[in-house]
Amino acid sequence: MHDGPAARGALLTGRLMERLRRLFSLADLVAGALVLALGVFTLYEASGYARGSMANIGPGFFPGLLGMLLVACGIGIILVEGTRDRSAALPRPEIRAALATVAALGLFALLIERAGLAPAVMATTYAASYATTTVTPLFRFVTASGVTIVCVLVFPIALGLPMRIVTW
Amino acid sequence: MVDLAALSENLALGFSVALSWEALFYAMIGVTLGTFVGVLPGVGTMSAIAMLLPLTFLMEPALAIIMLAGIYYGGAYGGSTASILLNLPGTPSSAVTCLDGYPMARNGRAGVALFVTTIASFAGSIMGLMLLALVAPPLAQFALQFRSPEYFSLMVLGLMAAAILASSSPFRSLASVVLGLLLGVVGIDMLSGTSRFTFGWPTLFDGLPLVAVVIGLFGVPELIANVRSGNYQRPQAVRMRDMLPSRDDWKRIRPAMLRGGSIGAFFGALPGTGGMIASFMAYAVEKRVSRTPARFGKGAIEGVAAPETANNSAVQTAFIPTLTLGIPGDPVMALMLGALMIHGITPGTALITSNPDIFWGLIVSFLVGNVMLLLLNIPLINLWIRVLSIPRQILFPAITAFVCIGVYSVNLAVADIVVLMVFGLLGYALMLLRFQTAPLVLGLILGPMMEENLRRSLLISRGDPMVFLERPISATFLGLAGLLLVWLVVSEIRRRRQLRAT
Repeated sequence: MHDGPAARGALLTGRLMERLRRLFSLADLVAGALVLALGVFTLYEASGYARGSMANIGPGFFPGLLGMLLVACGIGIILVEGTRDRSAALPRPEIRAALATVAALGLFALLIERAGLAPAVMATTYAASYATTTVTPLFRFVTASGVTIVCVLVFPIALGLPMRIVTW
Repeated sequence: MVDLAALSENLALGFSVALSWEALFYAMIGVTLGTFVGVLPGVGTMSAIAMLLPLTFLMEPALAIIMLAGIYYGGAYGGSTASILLNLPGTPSSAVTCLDGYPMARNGRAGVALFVTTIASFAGSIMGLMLLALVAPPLAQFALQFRSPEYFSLMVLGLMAAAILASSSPFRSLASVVLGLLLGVVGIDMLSGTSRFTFGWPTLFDGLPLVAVVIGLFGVPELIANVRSGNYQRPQAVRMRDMLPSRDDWKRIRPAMLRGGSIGAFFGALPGTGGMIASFMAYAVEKRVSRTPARFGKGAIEGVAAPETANNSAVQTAFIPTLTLGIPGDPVMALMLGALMIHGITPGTALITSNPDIFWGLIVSFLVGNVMLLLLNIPLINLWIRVLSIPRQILFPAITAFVCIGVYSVNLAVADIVVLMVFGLLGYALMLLRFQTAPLVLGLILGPMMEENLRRSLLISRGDPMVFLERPISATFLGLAGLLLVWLVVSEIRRRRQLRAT
């Protein structure tokens, strides 16, 4: 039935959501909520450290202050900035580039001490090149090799940085 | 008022330091590298300074700072190249140059635009330098009266100025600042031995690794965001002949440079604000005083000259609070401050008297560096154009590798790379949610200092928080911060009233 109580409840919630969405922009809501959450977390952590007295402030005083400020900022973002620019939407995240970069950095972290500079740079550059889609695997390999050669020549050899080029 | 005899004596000392072969060499490397990094979108001067910082550990302090400073003000020259040719700023402070620089390039006047930015940059630097040489010594004298409350209040003023003036989302910037302060708290508290926000990870006991955090927050998001964007047209080489502005151009450029330079000098000297806000303000002022504001956005040469003068002027005057008070003039200065401290130089009122050779040597070196930049950049414009033509598919992975190596080389710790990853993602998320990351770095470096000064102030006043308002200088700083807040509220109300009217 279209006009039963359940259906009416759904319609009202829908209208409420619409009103909320028009009042606050999503980006600001998310941003503000995150800041607020961080502020609450900070206050929680800071309460575990000694507050000290006003004359002799302890380790928990300053973080506690910061936590309160963060909570205030979070509220400010939602209420003040959120009610401003209603057309503002979240920009499109570059997921591919972000993943490629994370992979690249992760590979470096894994390999630099276990395998040495050359393999690490090779892997990092190869992974990072996945941020762009318009190239062939051969191009990726050639670029990676080129960069590896440059890095090996510049960093440990020319600049004398103490890194093993290859570890067995 | 200005003691010319003392000034010339000091400058002579400075010349003797700055004109040594090593000093010239490192200045040259610094400015060239700085321009190069400034030209490349995605790698900013902050990342470059952060990466080269560990390499300078073995160098003599004065030479190290000469080089790092060269990167800093060199970057201010190069940043506009990408803005003009690709509509992509190479450094944050050259974002405004896109507005009229890119249209000029599209009208075939790229050469003139590039030439003008070089001249304007030089003019701005000289203006800023003069102010630095003249104002710093008396300011250092004045600052001898500063105690903990004054330092604390000045930092509050600086951070508030950074948050409120630098962006249209003050709450976000403020949150950035506070987050930075919080990150500065991470580690073992010296006084009580309590480990704060370390969650049991020993790597964090000494605090967060600065270089990894800064590059993660700045460099990584820039890389991720820019790998695809921008019109990818190959910029064309420009001929020397095409670069000279017309007489009409010169008539417009001269007053624009004067105005821009003054605005830049002011914002640079104010702790917390720097080249970015200075260039933005200079553009806004230029447009407001122009008789033909409609030309702006379509290739008005003043729209290029004024912000460029402003940001270079700001870059030089940012050294004023940094060297005389030990409070960074902008986020990059904050990093430079870290660099100075690592080399055992404590900037502050004592610096000018205890190490006059370093102070004046730096000033003269800045002068020499700017002259080098002026002479280098004009013929090298075509080289920079060619650099910008390197396909992003090669540049991006290469930069990623350099970043990893650079960060790793600081402590030879894999943990730093993990920090880099975490902060890289965090930085990207912040960028998506439209937070400014520059105020965060300011907070990160000032955090420990602020807490220390707060603690000491309250200790001396025996717990009385009114001490900040009872001391006149401190009260003035806090009063100014309060005025900023008032200005913020007023402009927000005005803005909403305007919106409602339309």
